[in-house]
Amino acid sequence: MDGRDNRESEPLVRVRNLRKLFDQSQGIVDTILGREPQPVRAVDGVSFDIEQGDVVGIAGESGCGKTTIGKLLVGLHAPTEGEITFDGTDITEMSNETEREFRKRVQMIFQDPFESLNPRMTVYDTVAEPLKINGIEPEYEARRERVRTVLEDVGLAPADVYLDAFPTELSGGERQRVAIARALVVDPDFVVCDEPVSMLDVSIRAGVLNLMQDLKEEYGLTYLFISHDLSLIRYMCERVGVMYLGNMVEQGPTDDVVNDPKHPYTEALFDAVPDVEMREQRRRANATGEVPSPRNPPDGCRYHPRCANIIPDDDWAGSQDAFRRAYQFKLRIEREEIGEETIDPSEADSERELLEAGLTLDVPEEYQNETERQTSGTRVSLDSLDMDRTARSTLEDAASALQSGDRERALSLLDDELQTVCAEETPAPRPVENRDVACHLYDESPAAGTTAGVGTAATDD
Amino acid sequence: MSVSTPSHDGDGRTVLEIDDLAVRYAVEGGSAVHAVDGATFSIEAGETYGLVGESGCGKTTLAKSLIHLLDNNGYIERGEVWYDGTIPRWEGSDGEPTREAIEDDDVPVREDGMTNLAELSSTQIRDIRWRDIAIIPQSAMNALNPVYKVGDQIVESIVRHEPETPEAEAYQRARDLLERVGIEPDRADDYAHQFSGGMKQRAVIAMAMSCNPDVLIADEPTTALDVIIQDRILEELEQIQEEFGVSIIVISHDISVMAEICDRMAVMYGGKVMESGPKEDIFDATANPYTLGLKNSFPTITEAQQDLVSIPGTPPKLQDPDAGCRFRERCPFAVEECHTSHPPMYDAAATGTAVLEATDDERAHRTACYRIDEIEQIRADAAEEHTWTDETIESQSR
Repeated sequence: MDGRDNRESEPLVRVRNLRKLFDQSQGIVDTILGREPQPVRAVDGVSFDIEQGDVVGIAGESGCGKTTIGKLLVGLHAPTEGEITFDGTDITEMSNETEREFRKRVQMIFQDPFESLNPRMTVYDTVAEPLKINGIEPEYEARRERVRTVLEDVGLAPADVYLDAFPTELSGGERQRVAIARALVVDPDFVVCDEPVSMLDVSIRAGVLNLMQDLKEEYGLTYLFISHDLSLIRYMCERVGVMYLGNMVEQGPTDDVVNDPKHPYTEALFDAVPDVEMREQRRRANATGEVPSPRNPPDGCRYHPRCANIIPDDDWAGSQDAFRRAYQFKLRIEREEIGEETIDPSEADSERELLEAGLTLDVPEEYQNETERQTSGTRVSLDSLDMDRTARSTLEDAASALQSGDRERALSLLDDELQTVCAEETPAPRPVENRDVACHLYDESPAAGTTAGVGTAATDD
Repeated sequence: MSVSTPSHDGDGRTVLEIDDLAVRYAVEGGSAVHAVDGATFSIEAGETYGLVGESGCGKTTLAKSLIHLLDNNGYIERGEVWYDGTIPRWEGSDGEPTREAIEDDDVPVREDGMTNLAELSSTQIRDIRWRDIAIIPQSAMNALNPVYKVGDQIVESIVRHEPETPEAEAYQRARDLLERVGIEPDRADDYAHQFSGGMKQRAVIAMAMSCNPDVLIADEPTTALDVIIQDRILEELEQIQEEFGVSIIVISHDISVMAEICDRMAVMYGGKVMESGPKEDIFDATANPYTLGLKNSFPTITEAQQDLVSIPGTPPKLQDPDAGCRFRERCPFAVEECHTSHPPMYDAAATGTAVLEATDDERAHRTACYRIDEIEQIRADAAEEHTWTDETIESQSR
């Protein structure tokens, strides 16, 4: 998937710097006021390769752009920018002739078999339609025979029972098999599967997944498997790309990515999956907050506001933990989650209270500081954080500015103190061991040394 | 550090005792869908009880029937739901049911002070619902009213169920509750659209805890959430339980979520409880073919090489089902007996002994399978892929 493998042949699919923005339709007020439209940055600069015969997974939470990538690859969306080549041909600039050929070779299986099948078409009509459109098997008998073969291949046997059935007469698993038959009847090379089993009952999922694996051998297929379910990705895919807010943060062999994730987001994502084997022994995910809107994504690394390993600048005199907390304080002020009304100003030490509330981390208990645990996460003792006097007094000045209602001054104080490469530069994917990771932790600059500070507990001094 | 173990601070007091509960939905033509059939289990104070099963297995219907939240055509056919507590009318000054209430044959309160919720009228159950047994319905987080402040919605639920509470006090309580579930109390004055998905779910949990119930029912509490947020909500439920000592009934189709948060669980299929007992027993000494099949079909994140095997066929239609075992059509281990009647609950620990005994001990590891004495062999066979082919099952069921 990363193209660094020294394979002789060209990859089947090659994606470079792919971008897809969806325009937000402007309301009349915005138009009158002349506001710039803010597009949704669904996919924002993604590059990867898919080798012939691979099963490649795209993992990520909802809204990360994984479905959009799938649709771009089969030509259901046109890219805003970037390049997609399929078997050597640029699919954004195809003649009608090549496009017809391309559509035969590339197919898609959609998430919901209850919606992706036309309720008024019989199974035969559904599966035969791609043949008619592509002018394959014009003879009725031959066409019917081909449909019959494909149906039996996907486990709908005897085919005669199913040929004249309507989707409503079929179970969810059978419907998804019809959808798979419809994709395979034209004998494609590349199939994009978008959450192919998420709508199916647990006990029949495995059957559909195993069928897909068998068919891969039989039809010589290459799959792109899109799923939010990381256990399924692990089961199905040799390689995986993990997406976050339109960026691909890490890609490599699935086993290695799962066992030893390099990107802090990947690590959090896999930590968060409950597991039958691990039960209560599981480690929770060390990440703050939730996914921000793709309309206005954070600058620099998109993940930096939630990241456990955010990298302080060289002039920060204190621990990485203290920096992460100070950064959260700044973000809370920015998002107006905290302000002069948070703590009653008549209370004794209200500024310090405000700061100690602002410096808390919204993370699972196991990652909290001792003083935080005692207050069930509502306050963290300033004295328990490791930072020098200047940093501390800046934070205190910012808190007192905020308490007196001067949000802007508080922010500018913090902005000067809390410099981080993570917010300034978008990390480019770079090779780490056998995969590509887009994270400043792996920069060749001295900043990489700060990883040692990650996870170390704050001193109680 | 690891995820904290679920609390077991239960003093062994039974909070809810469900006995032979059957719930049906009437359909046209006088027939009925047997959504829940003969469910029997009990829940102790401070424990997490899981109801796991696929869609249509009756898990949600079972939970809703406890507090009379069934759809119009749904009704309790038979069975009892004993709850450790009663409605104010039958309560003495000490909070316990009065002697008269216990002795009155028309009042569904028995000697040990437990009340049969199944026999309460629709007005009586309102005193129990939310105050004593609260429910977080599936996708409740999307049902927050968009035009009321979140805090006001919590206040409303407090005042509705405890009318004597002054508004200001209720408001303060709402803020406290939000803070307890990890939301800045100031956000009480925000609207639902200003909350993220995880915050909405936390707010709904806060709302359910607003009257400090004994039992909290959470229906698929994490299903629509992203995995990192799901992780936080699971932690939240554990913390709520530790702090309030509430018993939680969790309903989910996801057995990995169940493996993590439950103390005990019931595996349901086609309206029947197929296997129930302590979580460890169910996962480590699985004693029912359906549970074995379900486990086989579930991928895990920790294992690299795994062979998933699905259960052939589809779940049964529950409209006027016959008497046989509900799972037999899909079961590779079905024998003659399975076609005549659904098996009773056997003691799973008594395997290997010659005598099979149906057990009434609801706390024990129990399973509904006639072939429990051969469970070692069944476990071994169930691990083989060829066991679960259509052909094997066909040959069994003829």
